[in-house]
Amino acid sequence: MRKEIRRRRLEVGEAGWGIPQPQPARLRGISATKHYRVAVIGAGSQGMSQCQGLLAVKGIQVVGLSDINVERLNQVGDSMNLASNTRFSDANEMLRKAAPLDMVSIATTAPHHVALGRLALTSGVKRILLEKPIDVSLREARAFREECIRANTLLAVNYSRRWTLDYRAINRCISRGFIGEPRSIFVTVGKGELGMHASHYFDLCHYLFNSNPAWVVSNLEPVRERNPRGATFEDPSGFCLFTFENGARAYIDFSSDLGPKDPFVAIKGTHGRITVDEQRMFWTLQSRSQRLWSIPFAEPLKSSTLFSRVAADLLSRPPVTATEESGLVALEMVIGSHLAQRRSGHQVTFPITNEDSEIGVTFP
Amino acid sequence: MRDLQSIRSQAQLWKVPPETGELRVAVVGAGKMARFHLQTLNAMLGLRLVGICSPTSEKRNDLRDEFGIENAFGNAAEMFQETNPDAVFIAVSHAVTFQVSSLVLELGLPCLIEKPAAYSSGQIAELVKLANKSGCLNMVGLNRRFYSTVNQALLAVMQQGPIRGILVEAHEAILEYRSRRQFDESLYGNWMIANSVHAIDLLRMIGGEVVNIQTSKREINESRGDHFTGAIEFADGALGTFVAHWNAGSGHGMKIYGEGIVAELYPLEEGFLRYASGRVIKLHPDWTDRKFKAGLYAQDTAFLQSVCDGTRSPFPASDLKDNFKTMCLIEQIQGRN
Repeated sequence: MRKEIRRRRLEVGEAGWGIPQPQPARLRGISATKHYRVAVIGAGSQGMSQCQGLLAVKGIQVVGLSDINVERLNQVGDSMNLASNTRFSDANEMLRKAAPLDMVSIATTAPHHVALGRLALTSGVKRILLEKPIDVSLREARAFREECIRANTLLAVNYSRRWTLDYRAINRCISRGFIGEPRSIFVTVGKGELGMHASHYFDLCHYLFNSNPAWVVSNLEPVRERNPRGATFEDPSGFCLFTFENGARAYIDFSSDLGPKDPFVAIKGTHGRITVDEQRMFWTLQSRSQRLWSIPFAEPLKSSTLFSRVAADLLSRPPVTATEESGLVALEMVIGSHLAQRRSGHQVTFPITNEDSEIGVTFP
Repeated sequence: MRDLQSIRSQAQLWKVPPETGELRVAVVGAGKMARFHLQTLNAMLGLRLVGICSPTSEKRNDLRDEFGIENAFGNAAEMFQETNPDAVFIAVSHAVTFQVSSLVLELGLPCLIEKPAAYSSGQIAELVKLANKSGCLNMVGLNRRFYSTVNQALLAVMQQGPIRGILVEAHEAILEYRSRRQFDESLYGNWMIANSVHAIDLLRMIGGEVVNIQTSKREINESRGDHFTGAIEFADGALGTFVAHWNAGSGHGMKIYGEGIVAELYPLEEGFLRYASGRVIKLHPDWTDRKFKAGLYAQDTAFLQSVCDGTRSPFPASDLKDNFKTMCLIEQIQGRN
C-alpha cells in the first residue's frame, strides 16, 4: 500500500521524497562569531513572535522589550523568560538603558512606526526594522528613509514573504525562466484587510514581478465592524487590480465574502505557471515541458520562524534583503488603493505625490 | 495504430493545442535516436508523422511501418518538399548533422537538432546565422537538461537558497569505445563534443553564464587529451568543477551544492538529496523518464509546444545560440581555441 501511494505521488512529480529539511536561520560569515544586542518595541502578538524568532537565533540576545501596556509587557516577558531589567514601559528609556543596540525592531501599529524609528535613529542604532506597513504617512516614511540614508543606517520593513525559503525559491525559478516572463498574479487571500493582509501580497507581487506598480483600481468595502486593533483604525476588505511598469498585472482579492483566510497565489508566465497554497503548505511549478512539480514548503509561514530569518539576514554582513524601498512602494500601493476607491473606481497612477497621499486614513 | 494501452492515462499525454490544428512532423534519420524520438512522438496526441528520411531503405521502412509514418524518403530535401512539415527532428549521424541542419535552417523549418549540432563552435556560429536569417525556431537535443532527477535536484537545492557549486564528472571509456570500431575516427576524435557535451552543458544549465575558467589536461592516449580538470566561475557567484578521467571507467555524474544541502546524481538518472541535518531523500525519475528514454518526452514536448505557439522554448531548453556557449566551454576545456 505504502509503495503504491509512493508510486502515485512520484508520478505527479515532486521534488524528492518527503518534506525538505532546511537549516534553521543563523548568522552568516563574520557575524556568526559575534553576539548581537536587539530590542523590540511593542509587546503585542507580533512583538511576541519577534522575541520568539530572535531567541531562536544563536548569537542574538533580546536585551530590551518595551510596551506602554505593562501587563502585556510582563506577560510576554514572562513567557519569553526575559529578565525584569530588560522590560521597559517607555521606549526612550529602553533605548538609553539597553544601549548599545545592534538592531531595534518596531512592532507597534503603523501610525507609530516612523516616530519610534526616529527615536531609535537618534539614539544611534544602525539597523532599524519596522513592522509593515512602514507607516500611515507616505510623506513621513519618505523623509525617514532619507534620514536613515544620511545616518548610514539600515532600514528594513518586515514584509516577511520576501524572506521565506519558498517564495525566494519561486523568485529564483522565475529568474531562471522556468515559466518564461511572469505576466499575471492572482491572489485570493480570504476575508482580509487592506493594510494588514493585502499589503503582504502587494509587496509579493512587486517582488516577483521585479517591477514598480504603474496604476491601481480598487473596490473597497465600507467598514462596518470595529477594527480589533482599535476603533481609530480603518482597514477595509475588498479587491484591487494593479498593473506594473513591465506590463504585468496583479489581482488581489481580500473581500469579506471569501470566508476564512486561505491564501492562494497563482503566477502565470508566458510559458508556465506557479501556484502557492499557503494553507496546505505546498507550491507547484508547471513549465513548458508540461511536467507538474509539486513541492512541499521547506518551512511553515509562521511569524516567529520567518522573523528568525529576517533578523539573521539583517544582522549578517552583507545584508541580502533590505527592503526600505519596497516598504515605501507597498505603502504607496495601500494608499493608492484608498485613493482609487475615493475616485469611484478610477485608476490611480503611481508614483503618488506627498500631497495626494494625505488621505486622512489611519490603518494598523 | 498507436499503442497507448501501456500509457497510464491519456490525461498525462501532451496534446497539440486545438487552436493549432494538426501538427505535421518529419524525422530525419532512422537510427537509435530517431527511434527514441518516434517512441515519444507516438505517445503524443494530435500529431501527424508525415515522413521519415534515411539513406538506408531497410531502416526507414522498418520505422515507417512500426510507427505508422505516412511516407519514407531517401532524400531529405525531397521529403521536405513532399510533406511540408511544421516541425523536423534531426537525428542523423554526427558526421552529417551540420550538413542536414544547415539545409533545414535554410528552409526555415522549426527543428530539434540532436546533439552535437556540429563539431566546433565555428560551425555552430554558422548554424546560428542561418537560423537568424530564416527566423527559424530551433532547439538542440540535450535531453539531460530535461531529466526529472536533474530538475528535482535543482529545485530542491534552489529551495534552500542560492546554488553555491556544481561538480560534474564525465568519465569516458574511450579505449573501449575505440576497440568496438562502431564509429568513424572523426567521432572518436571529437568524443568530448559528441558525448561529454551532455555533462558540460549541465554545468551551464545549473551554473548559468561562465565568467572565468581555468583548465588543465593530460594527453595519455588521446591527442586532444583524456584527463581534464576545469575550475569555473559563474556570473551568479556559483563555482563549477569539471573532472574527466577517461579510461578510469565511464559514466556521468553531478553534485549540486547549496545552503545546507547537496544533491548527488550518480548516475544522472538517479540520486539523493543530502541535507546538512543528515536527512537523505532519494530522487526518483518520473513516469516519462521511466517509460521513454529519459528526458526525451519532456524535451520533445517543450519543443513541439514552442512550435505550436511560435515562441522560443524557455529554460531548461537550449537553442543553437545557447549551445554555442556550451561548445565554447568544451573547446576551452579541451584547449582547442
